[in-house]
Amino acid sequence: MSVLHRFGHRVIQSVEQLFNRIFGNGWNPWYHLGSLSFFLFWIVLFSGLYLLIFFETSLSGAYPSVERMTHEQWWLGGIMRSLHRYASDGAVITVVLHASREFFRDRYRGVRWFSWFTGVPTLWLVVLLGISGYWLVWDAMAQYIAVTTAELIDWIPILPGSMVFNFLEGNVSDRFFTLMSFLHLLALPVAMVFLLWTHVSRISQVDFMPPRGLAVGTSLALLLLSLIKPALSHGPANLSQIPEVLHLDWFYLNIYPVVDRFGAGTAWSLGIGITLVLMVLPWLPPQRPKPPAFVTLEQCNGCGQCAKDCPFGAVSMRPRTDGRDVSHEPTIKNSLCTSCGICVGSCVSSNPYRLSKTTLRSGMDMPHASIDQLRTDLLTRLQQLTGPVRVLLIGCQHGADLESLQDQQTAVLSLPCSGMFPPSLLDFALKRGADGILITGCRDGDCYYRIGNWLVDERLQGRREPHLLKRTDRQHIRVYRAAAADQDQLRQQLLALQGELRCAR
Amino acid sequence: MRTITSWMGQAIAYTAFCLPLYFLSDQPSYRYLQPHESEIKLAFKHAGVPVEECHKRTADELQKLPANMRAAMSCSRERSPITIDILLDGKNITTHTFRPPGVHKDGSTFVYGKFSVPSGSHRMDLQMEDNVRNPGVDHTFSRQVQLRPGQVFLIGFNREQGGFIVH
Ligand code: HEM
Repeated sequence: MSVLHRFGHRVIQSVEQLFNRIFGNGWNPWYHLGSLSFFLFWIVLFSGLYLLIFFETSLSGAYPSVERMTHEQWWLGGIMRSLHRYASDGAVITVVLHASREFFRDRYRGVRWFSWFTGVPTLWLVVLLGISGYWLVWDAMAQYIAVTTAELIDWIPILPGSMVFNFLEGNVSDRFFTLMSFLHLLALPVAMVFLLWTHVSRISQVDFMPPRGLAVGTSLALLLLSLIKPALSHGPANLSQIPEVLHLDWFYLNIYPVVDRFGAGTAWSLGIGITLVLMVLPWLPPQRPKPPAFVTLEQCNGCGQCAKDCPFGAVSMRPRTDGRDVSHEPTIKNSLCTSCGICVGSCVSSNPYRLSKTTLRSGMDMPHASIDQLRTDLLTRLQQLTGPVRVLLIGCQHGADLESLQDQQTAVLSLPCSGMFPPSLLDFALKRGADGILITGCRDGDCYYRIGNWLVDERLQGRREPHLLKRTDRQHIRVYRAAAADQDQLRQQLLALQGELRCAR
Repeated sequence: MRTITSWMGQAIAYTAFCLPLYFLSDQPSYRYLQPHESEIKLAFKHAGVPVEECHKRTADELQKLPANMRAAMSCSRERSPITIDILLDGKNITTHTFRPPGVHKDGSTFVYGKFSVPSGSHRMDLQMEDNVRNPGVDHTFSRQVQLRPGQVFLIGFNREQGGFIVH
């Protein structure tokens, strides 16, 4: 991770910590920026459908129909209009924060380039949706947008440069209004759905809906804003007159003053330049590739849990090829594998009691952090402990710094993702000398590999295979998740567990 | 358990989210024209005069052409660029040359430009050159005009209708 990532991530983490205190980890909006963007689009869609009932899609009918909704039907039409505007504006904020957060969290490179790369064109669609929406009101601002957009398009060298002639006094073309209606009401939303589907197509268990508390809070906030400041139009469009002052929506229309001040060429260079930089960002510099997981068929019973659990859809099941009496076997698409190791934790054959000869072999394993190595490390580290109590601290490499907490009473296992350890490893650790276990990982709601924490919880609570064994003494297993910024709190938790274990002796 | 403080914190957080929406959705306002300014907009399509006159090919010229292309008359398709000067009260506010489009520069030229000027009564002089074979101004227009604040004063051109047209 570069200094830029580290610094940005630290800043975001401090803000998120504050939000965790206020909202609780579950409702923390920073952990749901993607799904919050989706949710805002739902509000935009529903309010838009309502507006469409009363909106007249003609050059002469558009403005009066919007005015009627705003003033005569302010109690619903007006509110819907305001919700439509503010949810769209809000989506710009959440999308920008979502992209920035993925960047600073370094979740946009390597195998994860695809979500980033397909996210960039959605920015264009979002902006085009906003611009075409303001066009449809056909007020003085829409007129300004139409003329300046035409100037932007006419600047493109291979085009004849005649679009702007459609917006001259006495010569206004209905064609463009119809085109804008088609774009805003159909083509762009459909393109957006398609692009967003592509955007999340390489990840599984997608967080499409924010938690209910967050959805309700956001809706109420936007509703209140709509009542306090209803969305209004400028005066009607009149091509022989231009308002001296325009009340631009800066979320969507910021490029227009750039065209006025610096010309269409500068505006295009800026837009295309930023887009290109964003698009190549995953390779500036590229992430060092990590070796993907691999399948050992002799150890695999074809249960398919690895395919269900993989957060990036890298594992899929196909008909068995080795003649064994089970129908399926997993196969790994290397280009999708982030080497998180979650599939190793999903595999029943990763059970450390299943030692065959001298090595533990699992159906799913990682070349750089094998389950056998994990088992060996666990035993070695437990044996090295000399303190009065012996605690296993097990977690991931993306949260707090675990190694620094290793001492005579604490054995540390730091994994690519905490979802990598099979629950049977906990039972095994307790049997082989650990008095207690502290499980950690990225902060709750903020797993670097998206669902590692959730899988651990599901497995411990017996809701997902492989379960923690019934006989395992749960009293001495604690979970406390901590980011790098929560190092002290994690240490406190560790000390508290050690203290409890000493008392229990 | 959520405490009163946590609900209040949430209210503050939602307010913080709504504040940029409240302000940036229509503020700060953008001044497109200064007070008492109007906009002069030049917008028309016009074909410049061909850069060369048609001439009868000499026997020598005809000989050099492939047999199927030996037309008696040679007419260049390239058209002259169009240069426009706008003067307001005798002061030049723009001189701009618009080139004819197309690989062969043979299309009609789209002339477009907009200029903000003080409102009020002005003497407006327009001059256009559209013929490189005839150096100097080819079309002129001169009139006292009254510009309202915020008015878009549209200038067109149509050869058939006698030259410049103001709306
Ligand atoms: C239209 C707006 C967008 C919406 C609604 C959206 C939504 C989402 C959602 C729901 C996820 C999955 C989150 C999860 O379940 O973990 C996601 C992932 C992601 N998004 Fe977006 N996104 C949008 C725009 C963008 C943009 C503009 C970028 C960056 C340029 C971006 C970058 C990413 C990345 C890198 C991931 C993958 C994270 C990972 O691999 O864990 N997104 N997005």
